[in-house]
Amino acid sequence: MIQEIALGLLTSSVAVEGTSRLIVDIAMYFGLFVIVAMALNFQYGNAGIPNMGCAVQVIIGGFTVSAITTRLILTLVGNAGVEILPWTSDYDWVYNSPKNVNIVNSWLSGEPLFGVSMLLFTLAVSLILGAIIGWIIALPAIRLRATYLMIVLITMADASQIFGRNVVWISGGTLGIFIPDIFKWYPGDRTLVMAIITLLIGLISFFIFRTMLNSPYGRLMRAIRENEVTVGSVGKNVVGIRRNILMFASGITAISGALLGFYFSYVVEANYQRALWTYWPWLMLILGGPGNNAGTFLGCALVVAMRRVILVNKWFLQEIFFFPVAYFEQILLGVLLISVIMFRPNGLIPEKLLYIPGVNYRRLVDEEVVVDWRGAPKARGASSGISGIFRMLGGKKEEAGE
Amino acid sequence: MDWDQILFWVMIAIWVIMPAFIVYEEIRERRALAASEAPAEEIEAVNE
Repeated sequence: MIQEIALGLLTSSVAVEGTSRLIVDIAMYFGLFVIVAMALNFQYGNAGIPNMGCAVQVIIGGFTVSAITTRLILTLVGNAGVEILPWTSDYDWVYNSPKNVNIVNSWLSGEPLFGVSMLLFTLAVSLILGAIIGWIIALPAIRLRATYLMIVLITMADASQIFGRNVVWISGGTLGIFIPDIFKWYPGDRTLVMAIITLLIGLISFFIFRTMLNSPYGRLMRAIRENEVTVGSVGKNVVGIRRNILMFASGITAISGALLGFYFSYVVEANYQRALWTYWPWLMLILGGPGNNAGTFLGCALVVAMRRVILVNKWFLQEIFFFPVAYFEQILLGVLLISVIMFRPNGLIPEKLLYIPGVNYRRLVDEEVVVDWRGAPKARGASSGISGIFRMLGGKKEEAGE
Repeated sequence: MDWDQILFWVMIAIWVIMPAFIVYEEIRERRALAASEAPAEEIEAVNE
């Protein structure tokens, strides 16, 4: 396999053929899952919120592309004078979708600025809608204990898929909706552009999460994870902080759903299954090590590469296995989850102590602290220092004597 | 110009740079933590 990859890299004149095609695919999925797994790490690894509803947030991104962006593009292109077929009724929305997208694509091939602006618009809207859905999820669930919170979120993930399947105007129901190709103006393979954009967004997300985790807010999150009762007892709004974390991470996760829609130029609810967008990211997180971005990256790289290679080589694998190879991925998911939890519960890269950039630990430890208490203002009341205790005891004696 | 070929290698570069930077930062933080923990252990040893 390695030889084939190396050979493909060296000999391919056109980048996206054969093995190079597989590499682009792995890169795209790596970028998508890195965004989801890092957001999950932000929620579970650092704040202790066991979000089993990642699929809800991802599907919101997909629905943004299908229900909002596609409608907006059809409206704008129609207003530009291009003849498009009717699309306002549910029937037309689904059955005229391929033809309309074809018409729109031929117009988009000469409009690069329009395509890029639609991408930016979609990313912004999916971020906002993801945050709103995070807030909605948080309303009934955030006060619950971990187990019940997980159950509620799993249910919500299923509910979102049922909505997509049955409400046709969102994403075309079970048939799905074709999405206009916003990179039609690019002369080559647009999936390469999508892969680069996705990887860049993954990198930007990493910097955002890293900055947040190294800030005082990140330390507050870790404190909530360790003991929320203690944090609540010092006056922090634990429920509010957990809700904010869920909202922010939901927004970031929704972006990956939107990118997936553009990558396939097609949105259908079956692409956003709970197992794919919740359990696999959890495996990546647990395999790499929760509370640790490097671990999340490692887990993502291993799992995504493994899954895509299995997917591509299913014909070959079928000859080796005695069971249908279609179940191999699911079996692998279960076996890996159980193995990691049994033999390596902290993941491949265990979480380290919090490091705060800019703080000189050696100086803090070595520093000789000299405090002149004589200059400190004297506290009022009987309980200030040892003399205060004696005074208090004396007062009581006096009271008793009287 | 073969844009696909150029973008393919740009993608590979981003894909390599991203984990490399994260691993570098992780190692740097772990070293800084180890360096900060060493004097504390020495002080504890003296106190004991």
